[in-house]
Amino acid sequence: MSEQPENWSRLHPATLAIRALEQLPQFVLGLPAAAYFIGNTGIVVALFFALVGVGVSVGLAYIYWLRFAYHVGEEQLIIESGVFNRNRRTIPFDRIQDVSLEQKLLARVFGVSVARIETGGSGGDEGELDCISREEADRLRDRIRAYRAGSSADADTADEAAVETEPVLYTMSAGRLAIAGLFNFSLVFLAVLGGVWQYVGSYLPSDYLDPRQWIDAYGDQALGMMTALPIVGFFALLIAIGAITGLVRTFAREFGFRLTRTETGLRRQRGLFTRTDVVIPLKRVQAVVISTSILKRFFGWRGMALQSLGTDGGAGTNHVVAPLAYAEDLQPILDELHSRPPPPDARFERVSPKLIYRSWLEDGIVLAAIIAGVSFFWSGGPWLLLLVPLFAIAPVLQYRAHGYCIEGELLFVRRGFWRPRITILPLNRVQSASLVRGLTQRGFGIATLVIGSAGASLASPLKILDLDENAARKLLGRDICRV
Amino acid sequence: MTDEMPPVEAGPAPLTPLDPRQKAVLRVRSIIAGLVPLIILSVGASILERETGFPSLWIIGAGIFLYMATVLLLPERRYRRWGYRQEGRGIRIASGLIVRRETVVPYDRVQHIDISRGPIERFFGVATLTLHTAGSYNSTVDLPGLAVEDAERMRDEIRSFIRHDLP
Repeated sequence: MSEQPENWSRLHPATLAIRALEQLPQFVLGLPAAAYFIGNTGIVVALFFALVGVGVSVGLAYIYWLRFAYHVGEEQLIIESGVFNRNRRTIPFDRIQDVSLEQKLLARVFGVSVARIETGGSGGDEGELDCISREEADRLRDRIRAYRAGSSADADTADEAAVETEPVLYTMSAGRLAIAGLFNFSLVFLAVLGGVWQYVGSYLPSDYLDPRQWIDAYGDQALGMMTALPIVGFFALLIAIGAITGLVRTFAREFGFRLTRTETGLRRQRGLFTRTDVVIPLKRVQAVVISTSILKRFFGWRGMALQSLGTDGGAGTNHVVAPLAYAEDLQPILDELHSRPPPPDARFERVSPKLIYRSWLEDGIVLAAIIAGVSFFWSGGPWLLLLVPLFAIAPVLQYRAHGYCIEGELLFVRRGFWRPRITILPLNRVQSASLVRGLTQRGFGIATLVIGSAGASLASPLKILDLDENAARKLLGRDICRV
Repeated sequence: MTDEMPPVEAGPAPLTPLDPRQKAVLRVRSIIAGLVPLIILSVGASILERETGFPSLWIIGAGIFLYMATVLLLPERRYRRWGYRQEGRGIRIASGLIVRRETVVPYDRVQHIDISRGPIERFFGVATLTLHTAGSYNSTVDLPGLAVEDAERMRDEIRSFIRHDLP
């Protein structure tokens, strides 16, 4: 690397230690398996191979580390990487919106973080420094800000004081975290327990799963214990476990939640173990999603997320900016987005009531087919008819919860009875729209409007279901796409 | 809306149909597309006959009947469902035999435009115009079966609307 300037930087050396430590659990867990294959006397051999494995992978990581260098220039960031295929990436500061940081628990121990370069492009792999020290990340951020302040001759030249004190838009107190945790009540623990049971089960005698064995052995004893107290206790235990699971998961993810305004976007810091510091450039925000649940709504709670270009790491497509808030808490965030809170339900336009008939018809056909199919194998098939009231009532609830509203430059779509959500999409963010009419819909003269926007989940794009066909066509060309 | 456009509320009726040569393209495609399943079916049926004695003629006959139906009937019907109309600042494209689809793409949301011509399309002298949008749904919108001159003219028209800044 002789042609490189003097002041090229390497990643933080702790990167190597983190790589090695991250791989350790795999090897430790792999040891018993290796010992099993090699034979009982082979534990030493297995240990030897494991150590060699760790050594080789650390060696490779070291070579990669040696061959990875970056340079923070006056106007650009240059990243050179690759062991054999050298790859040199130049990212001009003009294109960098900001730098997002993520610190896993191990990284926090070493005081380093993964820095992700956010450019104005449509997401994807743009540039990642894994890992650099906190000071280095701040230096990078400062350099980019200084460049922008120097180059932009506009009035909003960022003065240093303003950078230091970013206005806070939303924070979560411990009390609110606890409430959010209770709403996240979850019995996922039982699934985990089931998984462990299955794993451990393969080492137990094969007949332990046979219920007759259990009844023969403990049946009388169990009957004697079937009093009210243990049953109540059992359910109380389940509820407690569910609540604790929810609390733990919420505290781990949302602890220290803090949303601030930077000069280019919104900055979100959160996390108890894995600490993330993410910047959502305002330019990349496409739509606002306000979601709640029937229970949360009863207490006036809701959450807000932003649909943006690029994804929020592993946390899904949308960036959560307020996990649990009252309507008035969201106002400062909406102001920054030049958006408005959704109008009251009464102002929303309903879709065609034929949605109900269409759902009844389609669900009815599906249910009839299932009952017919099940009846071949099980005489109790007609019992499934008990599901009919459920299928009868669900479309009515869905219809009542569904609607749209266009006010000024904003399209509001509300949908969902159990988990109501309102999507706010500025009309100038509509990329295209389609009118889709399936077989049954054509029979009823209704159509679904599907709206394409950037950064939306492909699996569930924004839809307005079952509009009257002519109204839908008018909405498509004149109101939504404005051609 | 700043400049008043006459409100468009047209049904499928006044759309421009595709170039009639597209019918031939669709037919050749359905001939080719049906061949592989037909061959697999025939092989499967003859194996079945050897193993169980079930007469393969019936299965193959049904397969050929289905194949002929898709080759003779479907292309014409598919062709009739296609249509497009340029509406001031956007384009409306309709298609779909069973699930009917009508898509509107405003020109200023088009990211870039492709004209593509496969071997069959080249042989019959038609082209496919593909509009790329930034949306994840409808990220590409195809308009096949345009005479090459039409496709190039439309591309140039739409290109003049494309914004050069990111949304």
